[in-house]
Amino acid sequence: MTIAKKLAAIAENEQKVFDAGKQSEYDRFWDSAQNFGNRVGYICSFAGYCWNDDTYNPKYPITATENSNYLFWNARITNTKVPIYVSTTGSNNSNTFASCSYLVTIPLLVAAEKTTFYSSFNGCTAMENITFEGTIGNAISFNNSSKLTNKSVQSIIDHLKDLTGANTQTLTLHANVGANLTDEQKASVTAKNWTLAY
Amino acid sequence: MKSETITQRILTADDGMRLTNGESVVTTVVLPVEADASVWSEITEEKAQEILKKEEESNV
Repeated sequence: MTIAKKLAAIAENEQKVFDAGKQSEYDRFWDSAQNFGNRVGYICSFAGYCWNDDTYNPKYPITATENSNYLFWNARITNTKVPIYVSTTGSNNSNTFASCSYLVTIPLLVAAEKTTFYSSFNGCTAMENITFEGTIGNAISFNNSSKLTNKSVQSIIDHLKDLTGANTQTLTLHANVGANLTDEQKASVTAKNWTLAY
Repeated sequence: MKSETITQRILTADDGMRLTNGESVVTTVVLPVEADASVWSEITEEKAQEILKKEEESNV
């Protein structure tokens, strides 16, 4: 191949080479940051205003099953993008999304019976959409989330643990959201021995 | 057909007042029949704002 042809080939593939390098750097960063999807402790991992929709692009689900304290505290992301598995220990998951005032959507949050939600959603003033999987077994509050959709609230209600015969726990919603619940939804909450506050 | 009777107790704060259980500050509480309503007490709006402000500051 002549030098001229080589140069022509390089010019033709310039974008592809750039994209491949970019992908390689992306993979290298997130494979390391998330231990190839095996990381389980995520304390403060994406906390702070430097994390936004441009900088936060995880490659794997966030499996913070060991520690999710302050995971996204004060981050300026609008969408958590991947499934989030919060701590199952019952003690290492406070303030997980606290002060995320830009956060609109949590596409999937997987909780376990022991998961606690101390101040987890405080300051989530823009939150509209959240979908749960698993079990909500402890008190949970969305008191700052006035835009939370009814579909999201239904997802929360559907995953409340049935506490019949046990101590009641409290589901707290913003006054506007609570006022828009149907009688059937309110009954679904109390039928599981949960207290609804708004 | 499924038919259920759900008994609830609803607490509503008086005008200018809020309800709190020490964690949540709200105006309406819907309690299941077995729950202890005494954990909820009425506080003034001023006191409620103090609690909410402290909560907000703890997250900044």
